[in-house]
Amino acid sequence: MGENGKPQVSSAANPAHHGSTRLPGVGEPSAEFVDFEALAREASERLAATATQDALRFEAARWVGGEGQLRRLFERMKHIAPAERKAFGQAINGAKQAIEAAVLEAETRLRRESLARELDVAPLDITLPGRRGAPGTFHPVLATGRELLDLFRSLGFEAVSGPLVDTYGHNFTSLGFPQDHPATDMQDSFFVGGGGEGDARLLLRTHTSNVQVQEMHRRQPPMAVVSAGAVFRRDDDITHSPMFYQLEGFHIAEGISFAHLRGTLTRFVHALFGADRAVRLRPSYFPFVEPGAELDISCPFCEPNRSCRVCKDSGWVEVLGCGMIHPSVFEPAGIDYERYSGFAFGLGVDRLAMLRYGVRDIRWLYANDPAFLANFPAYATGGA
Amino acid sequence: MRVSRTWLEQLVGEPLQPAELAALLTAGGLEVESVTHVAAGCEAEVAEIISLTPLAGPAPGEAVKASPEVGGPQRDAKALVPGRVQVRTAPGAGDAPGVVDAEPDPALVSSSDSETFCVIARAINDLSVGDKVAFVRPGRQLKRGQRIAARKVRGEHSEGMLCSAADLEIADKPDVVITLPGHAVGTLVAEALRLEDHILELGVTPNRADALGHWGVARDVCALRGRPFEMPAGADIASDTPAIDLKVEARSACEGYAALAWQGVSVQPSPWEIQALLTRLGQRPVSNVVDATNLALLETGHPVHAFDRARLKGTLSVRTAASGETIALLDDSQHTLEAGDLVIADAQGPQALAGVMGGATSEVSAATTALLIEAAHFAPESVRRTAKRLGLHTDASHRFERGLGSQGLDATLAVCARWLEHLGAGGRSAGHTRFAPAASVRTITLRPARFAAFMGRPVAAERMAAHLRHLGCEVTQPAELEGALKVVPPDARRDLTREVDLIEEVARLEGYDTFHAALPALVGAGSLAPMLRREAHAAAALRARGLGEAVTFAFTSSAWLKSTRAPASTWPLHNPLTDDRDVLRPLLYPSLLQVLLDAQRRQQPSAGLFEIGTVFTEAASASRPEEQIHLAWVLSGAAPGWLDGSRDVDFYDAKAIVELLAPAGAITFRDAELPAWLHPKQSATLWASEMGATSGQGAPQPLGWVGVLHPEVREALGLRGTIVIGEVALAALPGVQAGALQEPPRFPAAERDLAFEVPQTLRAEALAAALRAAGGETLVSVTPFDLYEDETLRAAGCRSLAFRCVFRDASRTLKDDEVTAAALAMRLAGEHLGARTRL
Repeated sequence: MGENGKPQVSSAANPAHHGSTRLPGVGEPSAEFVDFEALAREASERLAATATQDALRFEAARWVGGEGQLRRLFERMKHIAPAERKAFGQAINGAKQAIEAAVLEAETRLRRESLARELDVAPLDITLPGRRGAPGTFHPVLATGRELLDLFRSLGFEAVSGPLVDTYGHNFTSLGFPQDHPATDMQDSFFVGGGGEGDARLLLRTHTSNVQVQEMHRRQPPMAVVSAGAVFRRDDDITHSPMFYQLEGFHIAEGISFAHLRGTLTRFVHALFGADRAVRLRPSYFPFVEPGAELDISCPFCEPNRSCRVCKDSGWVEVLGCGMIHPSVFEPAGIDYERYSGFAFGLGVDRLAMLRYGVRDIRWLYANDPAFLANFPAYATGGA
Repeated sequence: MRVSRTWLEQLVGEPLQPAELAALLTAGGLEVESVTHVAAGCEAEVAEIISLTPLAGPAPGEAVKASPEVGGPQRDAKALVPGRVQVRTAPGAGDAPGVVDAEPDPALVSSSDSETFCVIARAINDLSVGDKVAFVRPGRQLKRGQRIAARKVRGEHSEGMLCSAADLEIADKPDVVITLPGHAVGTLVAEALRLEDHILELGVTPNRADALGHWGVARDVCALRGRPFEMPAGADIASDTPAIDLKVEARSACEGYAALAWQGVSVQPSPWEIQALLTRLGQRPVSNVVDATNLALLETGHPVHAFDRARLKGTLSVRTAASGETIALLDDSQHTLEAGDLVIADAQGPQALAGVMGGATSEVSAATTALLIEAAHFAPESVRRTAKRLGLHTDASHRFERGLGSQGLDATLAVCARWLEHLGAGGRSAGHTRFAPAASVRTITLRPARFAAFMGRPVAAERMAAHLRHLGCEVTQPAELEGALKVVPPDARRDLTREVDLIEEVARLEGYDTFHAALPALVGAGSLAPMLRREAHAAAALRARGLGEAVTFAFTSSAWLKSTRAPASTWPLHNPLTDDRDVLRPLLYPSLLQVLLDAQRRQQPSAGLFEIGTVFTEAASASRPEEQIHLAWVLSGAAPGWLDGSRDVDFYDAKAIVELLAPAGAITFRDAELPAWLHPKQSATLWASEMGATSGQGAPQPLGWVGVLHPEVREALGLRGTIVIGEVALAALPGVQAGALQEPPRFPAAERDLAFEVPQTLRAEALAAALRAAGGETLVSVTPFDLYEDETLRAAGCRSLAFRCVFRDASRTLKDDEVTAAALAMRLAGEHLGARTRL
């Protein structure tokens, strides 16, 4: 066997070998015998010794390829006496089959060895961070708003948006706030330059209820609309931000009653806070609804035998304001109060977000501190 | 507003448990925000002084220390004489205190069996032997959680504490030890002063002016329990003589005015228990006369004012002020009036600001002997306008603004007279004058069928009538109304004007929670407005890219806009809360730079943030702002990722955001018309590739911009590191066009890479466009995949740029030489532009 692993033909023709076939020829060495068994054995050994796929391909070609040993021996067949041809052919085929089997075996061995090498590596330090870096973050208020919109859309409400700057008329008068009424004290407004006098004054909307006015002037009942967005009031402390987020919804059709208000909002509470929440409506006042109500839910944060910071041990948490839409809102929009009725509700998206995520100071929500936002990784939720 | 449980109990005539009462009121619409147990845990008892020994006062110049025995800092140490006080309590009184919360610590109860105690008091000035005082013996509580221990005071052993009015929280008088004449030694102070009470803090909504007094709240309690409320009687105020010559000129602003002359009063402090009641209801005790008017207000909900009759001259008129008239008020403030302010004036000028506050000239003083007591109606708008302009929010203005009645004025005066008698002010009626035109009667029809349809459940007409009668309405059921009720609401319920108001009253007395729930038929498709959908998709894409979603205020500061080189806002706020939020923002990026600056100040240098928000620009009509939804982003510090080496963010990181938002090729990047806040060589403006896609009149506008923050702006703002920013008008960005669907390929693609040395002057996109044009029909895409620069290349004014070109035919597998030929044509096209092939 050559040192370099290359086949040496001479050794393949060992005359003393047992089981060799006599090879007669003209002008050839007088009598040559080819020992096919030895040939196959040698080929098998060399194939079994290959270490790479390339070496295997090379070795296999030497024996069974188009220019390989067996091919050349086969070509001598014509020089062989007809009587011996059959035996010679059978011997060649026997060798060929044996060598091909050895090739297949070597291939299998090499594939196995290769996989074993791929698996036998030093383990990675899987504690190092991933390549790309931290995930993005969602904003707790916007995410809550998107989720609420989705929820009301599943109840058939259409989600729309409304203007942030609106007229005093749309923000107050068309919603039944009397001019200069103490009810407007609850909603101290930022007035904006431009605009006119009285109802034409421009202001940053103090609630999303201006969307009611916008939609009622845009179309006729029946309609069910929901809208979320920024609203503005002149307050700034631990529980009040001069800008905050509200969500407003209303449903106007023939035959809408207080029962539908309760049914829709109960469905909302159960979807958001779980079906085991009790819902309580108690009378309250908003100029644009009557009867007006606040909706409380049984406190989801109370634990047995512990003082509850959220509900202050009252057992109830205020969630939203609602009511049946006031005739003074229908009338300027030209909607017949005898024929149609509707309910409306408005809630503080910030407040819900704060309840949900345990945010104690509303100002954290609008400071956009990266460390604070890191509480809300994109994969956690965030809405579509 | 605060109400007293015990007072309500008297008015309602039955015991009221605090928690039950709170639940009842809240369910009825008067939200109870808190319930406070007054005198909770107070174990002070009445003791008698048996000896008094003054101690040496503080030496001149000695630092004055607060005394823990009396509480509160000394205000005038020179006037106070400290002393040793020996007191006697009843035998055994200490053994059975009524309100012990817990077993006292035995170590503290050094002398609990004793009947006499020796206390060192900070001030014994007004005390005499034989006085009854409020005393807390050692080991007992002043109030819950405040236990008194025997201890050294001024080096002397002191057993217990003598209480001041402030200690007992019944008046703001910290220095005076309270005396309780007429009470038996050993009596609990809480019992003697009737402190055992609960105060309910009500959140009364602006429509419920009727509930701003104990009568109104008691009426709700009765109505919620299904019975009528009976107002208690006042004193007899009848008189044949007029109280004063009265002239009501401003009749549109004053529907009624009643005046009572009351003679022979003696002005002095009210009894402690009355002072205690007023204090816990949030009123400052003043004198028996003033206290009587305040108690009448607290009881009836209707403001009452007392003038010193002797100070009034001539005819009393209710009129509007002349512009420039002045008035000095009870709170020592001076005001110049405007025409339209409603005043009560006599011959000397304005004596009271109607419905807001009385004047100083006719103020009741210790010398007053005759009163003129006023109960009146003033129009809400008038009171509100004046009170708001002068910044005077008073108990009276609070009520008048919400709309009071004009028909119960005499009853209010009678209640005030009753309190005068009760508080020992003495005196008698010396005249009564009344201006009281009949109020217009409002009649409302309430249809039971309408109620049932509106509320989803019927209530019998008789039951509705009973509810409304309990609230003071007159209810009849005339035949011609076919089953409907004819309702005349009481004058004081000015908020009841239409049928739905009555529906609400009946519904709240029935209890909102007695009405069932049902789901309405769906009327909408649950759609999402296209712009909202777009916002949601953009936000999701940017979050997925690792950016944080920020929300900043819609207003910003004009100074900050200037520092960031943003255009000035055209929309100022008239009444900003602070100067740093004085205008509506014209762009988003200044707000994000503020957020970034805040983050850097807190040592959080790497940030990737975006905001989708409204900006306000000038509209064509300019009568109101044009509101547009913008998307802005800011990246700074190290780029995300670490394995491939650390680098700072750059232009291409910011540009990558745009590629998340619109189809490739729909937006063209130009280095023209760059905003002033961007680096002039590392920035771009964004334009719609196809004109007309965002058509408008006039010159086309850029859709936005992206780039490196101008270094000068960065320095001026105090920002650090590389900062890249971008902003686009979200609605203007080209959207995905519905077009022919790309079917999945059935035959394999072939790839060729083409690498060029490209002159710096040749833009990649120009080269790629030439390659695309030359690639033939089977070329699918040309994408840059490698950019390389080194010194040699730079010296030659070049960079190396490689493109991956993908070929595919829809109907067959491409042959190798076809692809090679196409790639060759592309290479030649690149070389034609001056790029040199790299092999």
